[in-house]
Amino acid sequence: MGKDLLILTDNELVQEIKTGNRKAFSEIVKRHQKSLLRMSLRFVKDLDMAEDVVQESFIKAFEKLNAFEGRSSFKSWLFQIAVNTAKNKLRERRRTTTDIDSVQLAVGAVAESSLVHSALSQEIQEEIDKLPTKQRTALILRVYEDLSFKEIADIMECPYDTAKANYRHALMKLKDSFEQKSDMSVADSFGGFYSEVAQYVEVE
Amino acid sequence: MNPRSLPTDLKTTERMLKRLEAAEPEPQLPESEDYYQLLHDKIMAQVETKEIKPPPPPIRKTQDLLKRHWRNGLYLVTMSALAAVISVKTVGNIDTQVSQNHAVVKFKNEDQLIGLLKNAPEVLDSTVLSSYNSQDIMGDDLYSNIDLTKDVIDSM
Repeated sequence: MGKDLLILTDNELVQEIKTGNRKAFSEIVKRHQKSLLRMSLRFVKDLDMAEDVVQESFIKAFEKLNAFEGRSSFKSWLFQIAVNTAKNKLRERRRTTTDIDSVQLAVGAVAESSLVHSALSQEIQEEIDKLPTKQRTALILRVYEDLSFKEIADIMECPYDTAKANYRHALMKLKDSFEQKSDMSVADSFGGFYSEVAQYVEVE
Repeated sequence: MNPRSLPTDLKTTERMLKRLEAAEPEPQLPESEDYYQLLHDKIMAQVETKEIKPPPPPIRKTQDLLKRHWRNGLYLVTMSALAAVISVKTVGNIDTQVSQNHAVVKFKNEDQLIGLLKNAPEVLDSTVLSSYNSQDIMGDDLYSNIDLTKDVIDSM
């Protein structure tokens, strides 16, 4: 009788796969496909493309399984492959359509709870889109995927401090941008954006 | 204050983003189980046609490590060390050549050689000749000026 794959950890499943048990990979796919799809969707903002990213990522992961040494978690390693695959997809898309930096974070089309929230989300979205790719990646993984800096560093293939610095720079740029908007806000129809943000945070 | 922790103003920005994110709906992910079953089946159908590739060679791992840490100066340090090793090696080669040209040969057991020469001075002649090169001016000079007296050898 075969092992109960459900109770095995990711690393144990990887060992099973390496011995030729492909069912173990099926379990890996079942465990991570949804989170991988959500993360990919945040990057590429298109469900079909995100699905392609997920498929390609799993295939690459399977083929490169011997390169996984278990120094990071399997999930981080998988996310790393997916982030790189998503970036490549975006590059391909840029060649045919628009700039890679114009790609936005995926924001659901569900109606916003309030106009303020809607305006804030849109503003923040635009500011995030202006960030350099590495800073934006760190921000997405930290804020939206709630990953640790260790995981982010593993995914971004950079040292821990670099991951943290990218995140910090992203926050600094956003903060500066909000403050700038706040300064201009007296005559601006948008109103005191940053103070509005602060109020929103307080209210929340 | 821990230099690694975020300053208060950045923490506010971070908190704001997180709260907005929490209020934000998830990206519109399909909810149907069938969708994920189909996705899983597509992936597994492709996996069936693939094989796990052999592990990467160690040199590749080193390159990856360097690439990963190049911002922390590891790349720079390694490359500098490599350049230094190459320089030392090159200078070492030149030095060896110069040494040979001047017939200054380092023996492994100098004391033993001196003892040998004291007893049989004619051995020095053949030793010098062994490193003599007809195109070597310094060798010529050395050979012509060498004085194979017992006193010279004693003074060594």
